[in-house]
Amino acid sequence: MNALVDFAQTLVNGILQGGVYAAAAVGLSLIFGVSGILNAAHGELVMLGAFTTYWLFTLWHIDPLLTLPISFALLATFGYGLQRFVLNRTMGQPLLLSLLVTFGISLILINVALRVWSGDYRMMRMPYFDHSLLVGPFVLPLSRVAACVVGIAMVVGLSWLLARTRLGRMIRATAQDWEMARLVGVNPHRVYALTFALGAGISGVAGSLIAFYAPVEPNMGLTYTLFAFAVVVLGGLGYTGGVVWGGLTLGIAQALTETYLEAGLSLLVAFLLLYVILRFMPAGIMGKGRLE
Amino acid sequence: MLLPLAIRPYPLRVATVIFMWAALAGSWNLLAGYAGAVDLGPVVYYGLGAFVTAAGMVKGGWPFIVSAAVAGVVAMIIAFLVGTPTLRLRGAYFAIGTLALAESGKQLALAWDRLTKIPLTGGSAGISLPLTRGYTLFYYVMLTLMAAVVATALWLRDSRFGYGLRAVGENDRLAEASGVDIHGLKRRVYVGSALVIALTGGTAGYWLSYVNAAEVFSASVTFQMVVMTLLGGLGTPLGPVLGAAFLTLCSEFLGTRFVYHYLIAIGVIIVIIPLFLPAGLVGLPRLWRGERAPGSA
Amino acid sequence: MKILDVRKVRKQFGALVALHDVDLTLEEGEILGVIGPNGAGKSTLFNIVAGLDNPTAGAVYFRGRSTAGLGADAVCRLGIAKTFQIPQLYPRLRVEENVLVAALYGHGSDLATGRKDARDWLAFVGLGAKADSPADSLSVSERRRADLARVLATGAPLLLLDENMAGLNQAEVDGVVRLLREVRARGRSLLVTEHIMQAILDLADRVVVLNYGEKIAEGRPADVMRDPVVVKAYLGDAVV
Repeated sequence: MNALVDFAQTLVNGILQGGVYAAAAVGLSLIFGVSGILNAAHGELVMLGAFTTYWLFTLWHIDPLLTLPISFALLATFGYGLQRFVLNRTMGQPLLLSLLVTFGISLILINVALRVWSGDYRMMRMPYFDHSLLVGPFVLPLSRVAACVVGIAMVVGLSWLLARTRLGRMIRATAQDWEMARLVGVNPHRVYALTFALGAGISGVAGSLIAFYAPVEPNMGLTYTLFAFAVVVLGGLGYTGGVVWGGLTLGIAQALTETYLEAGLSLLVAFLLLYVILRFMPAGIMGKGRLE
Repeated sequence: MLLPLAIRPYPLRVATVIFMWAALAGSWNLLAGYAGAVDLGPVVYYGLGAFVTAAGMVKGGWPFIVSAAVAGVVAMIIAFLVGTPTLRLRGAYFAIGTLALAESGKQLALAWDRLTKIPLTGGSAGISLPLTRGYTLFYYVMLTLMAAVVATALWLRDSRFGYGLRAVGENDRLAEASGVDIHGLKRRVYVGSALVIALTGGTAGYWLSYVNAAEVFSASVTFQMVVMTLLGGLGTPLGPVLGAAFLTLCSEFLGTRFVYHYLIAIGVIIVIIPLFLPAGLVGLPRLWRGERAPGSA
Repeated sequence: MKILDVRKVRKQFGALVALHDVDLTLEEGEILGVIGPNGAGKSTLFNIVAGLDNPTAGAVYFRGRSTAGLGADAVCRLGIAKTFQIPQLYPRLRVEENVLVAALYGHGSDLATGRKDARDWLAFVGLGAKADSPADSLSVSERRRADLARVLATGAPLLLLDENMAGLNQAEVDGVVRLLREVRARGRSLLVTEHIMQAILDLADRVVVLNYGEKIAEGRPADVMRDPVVVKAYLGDAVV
């Protein structure tokens, strides 16, 4: 009986983590799906969002949940500027170019952060997040629940935006056929910038959510970039809704590894899983991804 | 290029470092610049070479040359086995897939001793090798590796294999429809690169007298290879050499003094050069003369 | 022995049936025209014969040998080469080099022979002067001729020409027809699809008509084009 409870708790942990992974990956998926840019600096956007929340809380005692919209606004503005002034020049060029340029940006961001904030690990201490929900035999740390719920809400919100709003339609049109979109009056460069802003903003908030329960430091981004790649591929490249499936798969796979194998192997399992899916199910778990 | 042994140690060391990176970047350039396949996981063979060489010398007691040779062969075998399924992936999928493999390799190396109970990698502590004096051996080995890579790239310009490879890089569907075995050609280059990369890793490990999983499987090795090639000129025989020289010299003159500033400056360079000088440093003379730079929009 | 034997080839994309059990044969040295309204399945059929796509059912035989399971490159080396509807290039290589790759890998020549053959074929199609130009400097009709030179250079006995004459004026069409007659005289067999009916009438020995993935007529060009079933397929009920 205990074994079953342990297993279920592991699944729960995996789901909670998975929701955050989905939120941390959906920005990458959106940007790649629309602009074709593989953003190597994605993790740094998450890192900046995490630091935003950390400093707003630590210096000015702003309620962490209130820092979320601020984090979104800051990162969205930054993302808009990045696309408009730098990345727009890489449009239409091969994949490698945007990968390289975004890698350069990630180097700059990490090292500026190291310079300004040092490499120390920092952890937010929030009294009301220190509790855990006790649902039956399961332990649900409040900080993680909050992070997962908000994360999923963002992914759902983005899907709604893409499906139901004018901006969303413009984005989808540009993603499908930017020449056609231009003919009906959409300015693709503006759409790319807005898309990047959206993706960056969401990634920033994801970082803020991570700050609720994990330590924050300038180098944390790389892992999230890799995880985001994994989530996006697992869910299907270019299929934004798939990040939920990808996130859950990754989260659960990691949780299972941590409980039944050992914590140090969770990355190995994650990447092997990614490789296997990429090779044998290139359209992702739900089969809806874009094939080259 | 055959600098005599009379040169002082410091320039000799810098030259050796440049040759090493030129060999690494040049190998990456063969697959990415000529065949058009962006591999983000070549470091896995670097690490493999480093560990097998170290294991051969420390556990097996074999001399360096033998250990390195074994490392090379092991790398080629693994590259063949891994390359066969992986090279069927295209574009971003290939890039991400190779990255996933490299990261898996790193994690495996870190956990190996614990998991398999075969003491090979030393976990996160790494393995120490016998110390060496002087740089001569390493100088000549790296020089040879670099020369081999540059020679291969030059040969590609005017050979049957070279045309096939470049066809794959320019338009692989067209090449396939014209009778080119795109998968086979790519695999040959992949395996050949793995050999050079592994030999380089093994030599570097011996030179530094220390091999550590987190370092020799680090994605930053891959990124340096990519950046050096792109800065110097992708798809050209000398581009990687120029890029390696440029970045190594930058690192020597700036890096020791201002670590963060230097990296920020490198980041800025990496952002600016591809945007304004898409052909890389190799394209500078042409730009200077006012001609259109090849590869630009 | 027939150079090409297409037996009951079926191609389905989910519920959509693009080709319904199509049978088709070609003799050595024959020129067969394949015509039909847009969407009839001509390009799908050509892709399957050339190994660029796999049939859902049925088989393709080249000189008695099945092409099942062979990739596009193996099919090319076996002896079937196809032009592209939208001509393809290696943009940063020279025109001569574009054809050279086909000579080296399709035909299996060494570098020296391949170079000579590439230049010869370019001269044959009238692009001799452009051999050393960058490939992306060619105009669209020049690209089509280069594509023709390319498939010729592969040495493949069976050539599939997929709307290779699209967009050409009358004089240019006549020129290509003369070229293709010469190609046949040199021993190749041709499978040609075009919307330019005059070209098919002038060139083809026999014609097959496809409509909605089915073969609806077959015979001599002049006969087929007068066949009411064929006319109806193209123009609809109102005219007949």
